[in-house]
Amino acid sequence: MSDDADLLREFLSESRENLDRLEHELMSYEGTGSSPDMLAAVFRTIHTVKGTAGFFGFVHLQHVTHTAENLLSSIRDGALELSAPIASCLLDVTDAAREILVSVEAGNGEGAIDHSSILSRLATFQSTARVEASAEVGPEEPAIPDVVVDPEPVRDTAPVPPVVVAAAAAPRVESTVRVDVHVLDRLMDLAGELVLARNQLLQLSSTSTDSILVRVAQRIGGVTSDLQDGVMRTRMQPIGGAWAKLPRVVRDLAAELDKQITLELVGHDTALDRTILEAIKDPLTHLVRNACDHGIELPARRIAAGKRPDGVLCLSASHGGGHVAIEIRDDGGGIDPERVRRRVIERNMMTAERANRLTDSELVQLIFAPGFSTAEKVTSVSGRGVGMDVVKTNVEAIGGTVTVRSVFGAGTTVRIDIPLTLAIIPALLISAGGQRYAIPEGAIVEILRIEPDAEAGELGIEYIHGAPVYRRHGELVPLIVLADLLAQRPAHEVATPAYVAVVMADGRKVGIVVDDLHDSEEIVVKPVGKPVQGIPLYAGATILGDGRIALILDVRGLADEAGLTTHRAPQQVAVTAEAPRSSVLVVRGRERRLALPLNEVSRLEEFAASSIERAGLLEVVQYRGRMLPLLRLADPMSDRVTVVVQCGGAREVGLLVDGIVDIVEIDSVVDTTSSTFGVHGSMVIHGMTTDLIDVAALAEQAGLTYLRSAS
Amino acid sequence: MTRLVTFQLADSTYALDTTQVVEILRPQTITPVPRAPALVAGLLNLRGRIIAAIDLRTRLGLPRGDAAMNILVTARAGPVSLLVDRIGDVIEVDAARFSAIPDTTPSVLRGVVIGSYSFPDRLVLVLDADRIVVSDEERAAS
Repeated sequence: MSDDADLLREFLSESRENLDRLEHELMSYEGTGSSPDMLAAVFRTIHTVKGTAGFFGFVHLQHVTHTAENLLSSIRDGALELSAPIASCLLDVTDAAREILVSVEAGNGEGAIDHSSILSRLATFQSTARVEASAEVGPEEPAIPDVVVDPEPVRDTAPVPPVVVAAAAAPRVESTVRVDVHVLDRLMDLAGELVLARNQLLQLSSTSTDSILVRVAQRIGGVTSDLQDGVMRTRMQPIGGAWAKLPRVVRDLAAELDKQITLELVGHDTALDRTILEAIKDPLTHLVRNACDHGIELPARRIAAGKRPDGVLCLSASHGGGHVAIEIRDDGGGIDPERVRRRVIERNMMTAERANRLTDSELVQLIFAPGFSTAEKVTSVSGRGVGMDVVKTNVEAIGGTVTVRSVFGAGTTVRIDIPLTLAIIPALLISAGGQRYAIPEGAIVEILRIEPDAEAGELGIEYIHGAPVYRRHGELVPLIVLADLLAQRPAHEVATPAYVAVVMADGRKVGIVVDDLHDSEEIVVKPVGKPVQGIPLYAGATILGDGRIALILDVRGLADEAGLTTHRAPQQVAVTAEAPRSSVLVVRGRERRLALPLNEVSRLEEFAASSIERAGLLEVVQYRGRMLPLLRLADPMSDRVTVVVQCGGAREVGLLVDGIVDIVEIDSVVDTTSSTFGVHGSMVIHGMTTDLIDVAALAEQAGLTYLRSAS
Repeated sequence: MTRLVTFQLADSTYALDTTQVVEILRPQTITPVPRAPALVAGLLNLRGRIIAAIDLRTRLGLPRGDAAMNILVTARAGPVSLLVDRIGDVIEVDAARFSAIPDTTPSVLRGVVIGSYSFPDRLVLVLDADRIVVSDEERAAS
């Protein structure tokens, strides 16, 4: 009895492996076309499944696989060519076979699944086999498809994702054991305890004269480290596992939607804690489906837009700064901010007035709002409006964040940042306010010591409106005084010599001024409980060698908190939506520097001077299919002119300036004694008098309606 | 019969159901967490696990004191340690004598205290561990 059960279990696991292999083999055909070897392999695999099914008396499974085998045999003999629809049908056979296995495993026999439709499809293909072909083409010359006239052309163009090839080449052997994650957690904690006990032992032995004790202590020390490392690794798994199914998902979707999609997978070795891996599987699949359905356009439309007919969907995973970043990037149609705006208003998710004030990038983030879906029609793939907010919720549940960037017409990138819960990362230990903290080394660009009497202009700390900055190689690096930020008090003067960890936060350099620097250590990122978890300043915590806890700083959270995450605005970078209201964009005007409220800036653009046209009294430039009225704040002489696109209400105006200087935060208090028409007031930025421009007044003067911002 | 772990905070006696209590710990080294909600006293290292310590005095609106004893509880949100002044006895009470909290109870208590048991010499307020670890926003939302 138990022998039978064992046999059955073996049958199930072996058949699953075979079906997986079959699927990989068929998918590899879709990339590279068939080859005699591949056909032989497919044939062999399906034959094995059929054989064992017969042995166990699973007649349905036997029948389905037998019919598929017949079809394959015709292909192998050259009577039929392996075409995309046939490969598709054979993939469906693998799905059907898996369903039967599920039913068998559940103890319901083969179940009552109706396979007549798949059988009849197989029969239809079989009936098209050239009867005479077998006479003309010898069995040792299997058919190689000529140019396949392909109704689902994704097969012709999609190169095989490297992951698929690798997986197909490696025989799948089950050499793994399933272990309850809680058991691993417990082992992990115990290993941590052992490390502490080891440290105490080493300390004791260091004062001992007993050479045997010293040797034993050292041995225990080494083994403990290895043990901790080993236990840790059992929880880590390459992300490749989470997206193994995606090539198939994309392939099926492309076929269903009549699109051509090339899937690229980058960084599949990136290791993640397996509970996190499990948690992101569904969101990832959803995002991929979404990109296929809404993102990538139909081939005809892509060609019309001057793109290659096949859309590229790229998934990439990488470690960095205490986070794992996963990006899902497509080169499809992007998100139309205007459509989002209309939809938000239609659905009463926001008042028209409020929606009109949002910038493009703010609008795009709204796709994560509950109940939002811009799909014009509900398809079976997506478009029920329950997707993106669920993705966001799932990712946030494991302490991650989701952001989306989209360029209308050029594509969308969704980025998921997940903390490395329970991973080992190298970190720099520092102290601030009497406590030790860890900064993930991945985020650190350099570590500086600023001397008290630094050379002027090159190596010193300067203050802009009380906010310390540091000038290095001509670059202005804002400084965060960690102790002050943590204590929630305004940054006071930085005492020199000062230690600064320069980190990359959200694409810009930020210097973190710490009280003291300690060692660099490999730390174990541990989860912190509920009431501490949501604090954006921390990415987790770790236990140091002496048993004390150190919080791990989240550099992005720190920069956000300090209001430093606005983009530094090189040319053509869309300004992020999170810009605090007190930030201004400093530009060069006719004679003096001008400041523009950043919350009204939607974009920085460059145009050829020759593209400026006159329309009545106004100067305009064609911009995104519309006429953008220009207001001159400067009279640049060069061929290319810089234009700040401002948005007040639904109205955009372009401000012609002489150049972009910087983005800075200002106090809300502006000296208004110098207020004149078109100028709110003036202030001193970077040591220069700067006028805060009243865009609305200038626009009105030019005869344009431009809503004043609410602030 | 219900078994309760009693403890002392300021002048009052409180209690938790034993099923919610994991263990009692002596005063521990607590690492402060700047910018955390006021109810978080910090983090402690429990045999390799990092556990948040809740300042129960703050949570109950009592003046700050020197609560240092830890009661480790399992809440829905995970394990947390509650800082109390002094640990009392484990008592057995008759569930029939349980009385709901009076309407006059201050609202800060009403979110956490689920009821009380009256004894001739004292009143024991029963807390619910799940309700202790709820952020202000969640409390406002519910």
